[in-house]
Amino acid sequence: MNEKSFGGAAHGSYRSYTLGFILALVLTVIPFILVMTAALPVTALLVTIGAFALVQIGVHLVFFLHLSRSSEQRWNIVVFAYTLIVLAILVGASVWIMYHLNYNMMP
Amino acid sequence: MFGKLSFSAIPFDNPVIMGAFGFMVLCVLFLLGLVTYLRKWKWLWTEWLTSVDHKRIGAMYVIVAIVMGLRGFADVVMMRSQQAITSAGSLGYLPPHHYDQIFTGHGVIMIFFMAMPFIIGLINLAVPLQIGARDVAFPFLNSISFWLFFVGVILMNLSLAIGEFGKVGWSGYPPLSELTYSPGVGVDYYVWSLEIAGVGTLLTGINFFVTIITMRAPGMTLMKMPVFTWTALCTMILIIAAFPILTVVLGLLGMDRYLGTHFFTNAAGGNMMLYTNLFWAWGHPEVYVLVLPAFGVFSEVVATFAGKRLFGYTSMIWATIVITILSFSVWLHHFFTMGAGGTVNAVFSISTMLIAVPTGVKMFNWLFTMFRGRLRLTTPVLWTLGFMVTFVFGGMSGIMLANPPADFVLHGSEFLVAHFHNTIIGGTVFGAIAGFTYWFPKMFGFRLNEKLGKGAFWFWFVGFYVTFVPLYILGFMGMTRRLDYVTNPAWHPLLLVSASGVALTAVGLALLVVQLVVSIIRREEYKDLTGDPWNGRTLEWSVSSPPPAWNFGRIPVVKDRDAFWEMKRDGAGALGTAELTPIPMLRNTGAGVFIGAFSLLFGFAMIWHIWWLAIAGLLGVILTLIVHLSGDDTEYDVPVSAILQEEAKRPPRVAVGGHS
Amino acid sequence: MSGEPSNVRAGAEGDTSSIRLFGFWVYIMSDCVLFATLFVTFAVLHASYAGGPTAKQIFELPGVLLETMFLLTSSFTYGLATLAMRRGARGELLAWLAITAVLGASFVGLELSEFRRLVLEGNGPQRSAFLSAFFTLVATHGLHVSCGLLWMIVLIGQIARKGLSRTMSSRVMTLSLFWHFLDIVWICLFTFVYLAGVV
Repeated sequence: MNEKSFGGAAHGSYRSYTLGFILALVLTVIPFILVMTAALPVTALLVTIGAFALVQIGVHLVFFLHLSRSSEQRWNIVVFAYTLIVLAILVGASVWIMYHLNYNMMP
Repeated sequence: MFGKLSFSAIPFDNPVIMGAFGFMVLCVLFLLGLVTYLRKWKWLWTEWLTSVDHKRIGAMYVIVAIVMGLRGFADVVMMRSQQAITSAGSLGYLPPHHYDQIFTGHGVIMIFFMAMPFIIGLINLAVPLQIGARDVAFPFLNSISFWLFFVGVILMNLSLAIGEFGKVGWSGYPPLSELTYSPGVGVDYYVWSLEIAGVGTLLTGINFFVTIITMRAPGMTLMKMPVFTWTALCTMILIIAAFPILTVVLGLLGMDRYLGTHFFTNAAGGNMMLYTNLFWAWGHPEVYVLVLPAFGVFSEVVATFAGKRLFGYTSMIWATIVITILSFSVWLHHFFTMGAGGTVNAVFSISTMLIAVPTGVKMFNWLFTMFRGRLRLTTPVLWTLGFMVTFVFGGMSGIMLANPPADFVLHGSEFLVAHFHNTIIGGTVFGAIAGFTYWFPKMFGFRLNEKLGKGAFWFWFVGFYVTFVPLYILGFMGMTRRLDYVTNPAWHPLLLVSASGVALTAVGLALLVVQLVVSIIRREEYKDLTGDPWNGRTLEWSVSSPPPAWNFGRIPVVKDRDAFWEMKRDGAGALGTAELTPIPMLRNTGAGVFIGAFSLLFGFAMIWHIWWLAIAGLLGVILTLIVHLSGDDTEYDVPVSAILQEEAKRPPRVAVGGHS
Repeated sequence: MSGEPSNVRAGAEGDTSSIRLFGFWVYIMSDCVLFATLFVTFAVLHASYAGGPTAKQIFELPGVLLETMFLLTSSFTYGLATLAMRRGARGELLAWLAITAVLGASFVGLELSEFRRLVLEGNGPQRSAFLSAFFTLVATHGLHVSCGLLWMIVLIGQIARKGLSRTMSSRVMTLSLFWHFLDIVWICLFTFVYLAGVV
């Protein structure tokens, strides 16, 4: 009988939670400071805070949600990867489509 | 106290509606009376309504789907007859605001309350059995899903007599669906019935996805699953990814109507085109949700009745996966004419045409399965052959429409109407009926009358073409869709032909009903004694008909594709020699029914702006959930003696080829 | 990916709870799509001010930073709660859960006060498409958090009364997935709505 664990309760530790928390704090405070002090030109600022957001999401996924390449997490990763693809298409294509529609059709 | 609700909500002045409503009330009263007379209330409650058994839930889905199909068909009769007689100069009998509700209701009913539940019902019935599981991963959730769907059905039907339904087409585009142009409750019925039913569908998606991934019998790797289970898996993936979009888009429309927001309004920066974009981002995956399971049914039917392994299993699976991925990349073809421009249109045109390729692969695989097989021309096979011809036509007209220049002429015309009916009827409806005929013996223990089934098929098949080929031609002649009154007499002859096609189809539908009645009456004669009436290939045929609540006494160990076929070949002992142990089963529960009831109160109250009732309904749902989830006594054990008793009732396994 | 044979739901509790957790993860994926749709809506409508206020004019970043601190810390404290649970320390588990709930409630409270301020200024969701999209996106997240809080309170009550069974710990882990997911959505929210809006 197979006792397979599907994306089950992946485990953390004091270390992982504390490290994740500190990283997330830093990754939060810096973008706020950058924006509140207008430290960079607009485009660079937008790209930077976007990058910080992505990294922080990664921190959450790894340190809080314990997503990893272990075999127990495999299906979770597969499902997550597929969702990311759907999100990319949905958001990317919708924005592209709406941009064109607005350009052609809105006053 | 009662919000907007008052007696004036009932359209006493409209005889057609009052007649229909009266008929509906009579049917309901008859049913309630019948159950009371037969003293079956307790049985109905304990065995069916509170059931968490996927087989019972699946049967309930199919039953409701059939009933709603009849209502949707009544809409067809009204529309085709109205168009046929007005094009001959008559004044018609359906005023425009009624007709608009009819075509809106027809679309909503057929897609959400006939096709979806039929498909989900068949998946419920067959998939856990096919993978050698005892039930789905979350049986309680399964019950909730059914009841939320049923709430959508009730709201839809209430709209007939209490208030109105939307007059905006089943796609509900703003600004027509906004409060300014649809001030009545019609669009609110539309929004709430779909929002509530949509939650049920999403939960089903999650449920079956997890079931198929985690609960397959030992030895059944993904590439050894039956094709129907594969298509079910892909369907669930589509549901999980697409239905949240519908929830949001209808929710935003609802917010515009209830809270005065400006998502899709004309004023204050709203963007109506955003609705269309998001609606179809859901809408296109939805049609693949409808058709993929039908493809799965056909794969099972062809292999079973050709007595041959399905040709090209691997390519079949990959084709299904490719369709699943591509279906998320084509949705703009539903609004080529909205103005996104040449580049955008071209990209989506190409992706749309691409999706025909994997479907073509599947067609060839079915053909090659039949080639050099000994195809038994049973009713399910007839539906399959009918599908293969019909769906190809529908697909081809789709390829035509996939070209923006052609679509600019044909969008919104009867050509489009013919195309999507061609694919949905040829695909989903034919598949649903084939699956129904195929799995009926498994569910109820007796087969359906073959002659009547075949007769029904022929009337449906011929009726389909007589109904829809004229619509293709009318589309070319310039006739637009959704016309409540046809002023062009040149269109009359074709509309008359189309209406007569409806009459043929009606005979087919009647024959299906008669088939059911006759088969029930003659059920002893048609009894399925072995559990394997078709000499089947997959695991559901290895259990008795109907199966015991726990499906399998011993979970089978799978070695190959067409698991049951291999087991029959290797000898019946391969069904498993493991030691029997008591089987834990989830108890039936009324919580699903209560959640449904409170949701119904909530939905109805929201539609009529009865705020206190809406809050009460919502609280009721939450409280029911909390109470149920706090309960301790949710499982019971099926003792080994019961398992042995059930196994003893079954006649000895008949050798391969010697089926009754 | 293709084909490890799967476990059989023969009542072994370990299987059931990992299946449950996987199912909830799949639900979260559908919730991602839901939020993505709302983000698309916001992206399309973010500049439709209709003569009303712009993002720069109404967003107050210090408040947003404080909200973020509350929510982020609550994710951390929830993590500590799960660690306590795995050690079987029921009292500590309940304490951390309670702290998490307080932090979460503070988050919602701050959000509600922001909404109240805006509405009183006349900048409610009915003012413009931009505001409709903003309110809906942020409020949907807030509603999710509130549901999580309700769940948390019910869980605290159940564990306090009935003790820490396998079902209860499975539920704590499920809520953990939900809670962390909501923090991830918030990252997108404060970055792409608040910060980007002010830039």
